[in-house]
Amino acid sequence: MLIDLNPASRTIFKIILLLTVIGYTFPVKAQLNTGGIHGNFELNAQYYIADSAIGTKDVPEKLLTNGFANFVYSKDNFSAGLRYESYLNPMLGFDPRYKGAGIPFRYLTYANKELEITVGNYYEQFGSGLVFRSYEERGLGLDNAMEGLRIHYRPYQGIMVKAFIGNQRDFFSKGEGIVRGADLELNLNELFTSWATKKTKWIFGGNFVSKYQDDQNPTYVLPKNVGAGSGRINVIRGNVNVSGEYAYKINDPSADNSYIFKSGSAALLNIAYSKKGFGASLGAKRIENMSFRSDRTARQTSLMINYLPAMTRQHTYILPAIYPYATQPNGEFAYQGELFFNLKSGTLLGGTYGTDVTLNYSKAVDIDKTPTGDDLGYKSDFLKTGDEIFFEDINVEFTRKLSKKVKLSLMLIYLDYNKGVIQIAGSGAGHVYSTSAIAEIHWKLSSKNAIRTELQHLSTKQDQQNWGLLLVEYTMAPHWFVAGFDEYNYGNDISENRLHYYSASFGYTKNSNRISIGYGRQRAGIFCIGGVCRNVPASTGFSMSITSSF
Amino acid sequence: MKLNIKYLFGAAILLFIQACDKIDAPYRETTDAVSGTNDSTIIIGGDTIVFPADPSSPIKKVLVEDYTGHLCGNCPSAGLLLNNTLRGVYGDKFIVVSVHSGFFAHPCGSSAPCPGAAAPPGAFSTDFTNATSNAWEAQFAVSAQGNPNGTVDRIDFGTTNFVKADNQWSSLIQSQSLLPCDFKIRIINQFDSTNFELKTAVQTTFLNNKTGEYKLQLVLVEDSIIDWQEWYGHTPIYEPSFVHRDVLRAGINSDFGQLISTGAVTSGTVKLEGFTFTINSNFDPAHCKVVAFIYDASNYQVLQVEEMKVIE
Repeated sequence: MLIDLNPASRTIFKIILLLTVIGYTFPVKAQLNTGGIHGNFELNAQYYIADSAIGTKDVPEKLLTNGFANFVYSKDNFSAGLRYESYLNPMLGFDPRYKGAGIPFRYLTYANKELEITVGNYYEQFGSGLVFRSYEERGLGLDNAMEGLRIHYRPYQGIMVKAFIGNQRDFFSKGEGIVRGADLELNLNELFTSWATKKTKWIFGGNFVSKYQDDQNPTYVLPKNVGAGSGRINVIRGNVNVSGEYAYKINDPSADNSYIFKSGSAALLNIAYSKKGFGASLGAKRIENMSFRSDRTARQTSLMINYLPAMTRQHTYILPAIYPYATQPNGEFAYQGELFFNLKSGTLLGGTYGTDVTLNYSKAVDIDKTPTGDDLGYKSDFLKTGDEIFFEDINVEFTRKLSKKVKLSLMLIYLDYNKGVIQIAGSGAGHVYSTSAIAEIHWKLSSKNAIRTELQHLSTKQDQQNWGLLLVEYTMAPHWFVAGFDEYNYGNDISENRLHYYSASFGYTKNSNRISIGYGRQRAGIFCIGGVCRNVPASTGFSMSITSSF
Repeated sequence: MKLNIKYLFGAAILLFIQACDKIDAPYRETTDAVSGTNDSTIIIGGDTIVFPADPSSPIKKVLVEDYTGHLCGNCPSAGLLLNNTLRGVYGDKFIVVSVHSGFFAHPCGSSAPCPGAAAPPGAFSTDFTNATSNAWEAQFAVSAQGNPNGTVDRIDFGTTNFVKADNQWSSLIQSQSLLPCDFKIRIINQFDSTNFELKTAVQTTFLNNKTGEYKLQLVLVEDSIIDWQEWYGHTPIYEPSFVHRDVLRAGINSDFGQLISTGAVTSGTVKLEGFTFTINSNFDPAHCKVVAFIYDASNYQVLQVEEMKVIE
């Protein structure tokens, strides 16, 4: 077993261990004097079984596990924490570079009203993250935590300054690039007492982030320091919220952009209106050569400095989620609109209990690109779009309570998914046009017993053609649940690929502890959260999940 | 205190803003490559190298890149497959470059899962990765799909079929070797053992009319390096005297070579290029080879490959 404990980790680990012992030696009353410990634990395990029908790869270990535990000690203005992680070995679909175990996240923080200082690991985000976002998304195997120093400073009410320097986490080591940055946010209504009562709230922000990486490339004269910055505004008046951010990055040749020396930019605009029973939002985004990593050779989800959000609805139903959208950092123009309204109860359309309706539309296309024929790559007209459609989604959802015990949700989704861009770049895989219909019924049998069913269908002439899905879940509150579903690719043009992807599971919950055990077959595909994706290979086997918090 | 912190932040922000390197053209490093004075004679660093006439017709050779790592227990079997089984079947129809890259190639002491007490201190400390292997992995992401894996003539780039498992190598060597031979590559090496300077000349002849962008890539390969290797199914599992074959050591003319033609080129055209390269003094020049290959710049597909020992 690999235990990654460098001297800094060992020191922090010893401090937390000592504080933990003190905390448990003097419980209750000691909480008042010595602070308290809290945290959480999670273990996911899968036992893999060879399944020639879906072409699973042999797993020599048979059993693969991903697990972690967080321990946080806090007392007055001081807090310290660590996270132990174990990937022995990493479950299929997670980067094999996670193999091992250790303490990759540990920190010490002191905070008072004005100042917060963190040494060790930390997560941070400037604005919407177009220039800098350090975060963890465990489902993606993404963790670009910083290790270094971070300061938050509030010199006056309404002013927040953040500054940091550090390296990024790269599995169980650190990326070689150094990242440093600062952010200033002004809340004018807090800053000026005369503005405090104004109906319109104004928040401005700006930041600058720079990375350093040595140039050892024998082919190119690469910039060792690459800077990026952004300005943002957020205006709130009544039920209307308008926010926008524009980011710019200087030349940053990398594996992502095929080592072109063009500068990058990103623009983001969101407008939202909401009141009881009605909501509307509009968003638009333009990205041009905006991949930003602390190692120019990094790929997949490694060492990303910034975050480029997807401007599309993230579908949670299983079948439409076969075709999720992944943000294209090299260039895209995307926009989304959503309307939500409630048809009142007691009306013909609203029924006895009222009906919620959500209409959503989004589209992502290429930006205009005119090749320059040199190492600058291309020129792009900001207001022009390219010809290639990356993704289009039109969906409508109705939710109605049929009786006191039964609730029905219906959803219809049309997707245009450019597989050759989103999933297998450069493959010429082409577009997949699909239509999905979903019905979900939630039936409350008694105060403790409920049953939920989903009936889904996806039809497409491309890719793997038609799918059907039936899901049934029975819950016996507050402790037990049992669920099962079958995802059937009945329409596949290749008869031997008309396979069932089935799954059955049950679980037990007590207080903040939960265990679930299941058996099933996982379809190969991609899994995305917020426009960031990872490949998921096909697998069959038993799975177990344990979560606990304390 | 408040004032000091404000000044500190202000100064830090000003410093951050300075942390930008704007690069203007030229964007590429200049190289010491030279071109021939005619189709058969080239002067490299004052030394004249002459290619004697050779009317023979070449065979199409296949480049197999074996992405591997010393902590990859399944990799020795893939190497043995190439160097024993397939070599016996296909002879010199294919040339191997073993690319150490990815997680299993990390030296112990970095982030790799080292065997601990099962191997003595210092085991697995050799770093077989290099700038070129890392650049290839960054571009092709072969080791990212696990080891052993590889490519055969780098066919199918941009598709999910690009990475070839070892059980695909034999049939692909067979099919690729049957393709028309578009290029003839000849290599002459001159090595100065006093300063480890290698002068290498490469003569490339177009055997058919070709249109497109074609690149010439030269790499240095060192054969038969004795070092540690994790080896499943072998006793001991951590073998201290494993023979590492055909290890990629460096790119001689950058990580992805150089253009030798654009547009239409007629059959019979000859390109003659020369390079000066200093071999790392830790390498054994007697075991080093120059591997040269021509590939289509639009899709990385290798069209011909040749190799020549540094010291014949």
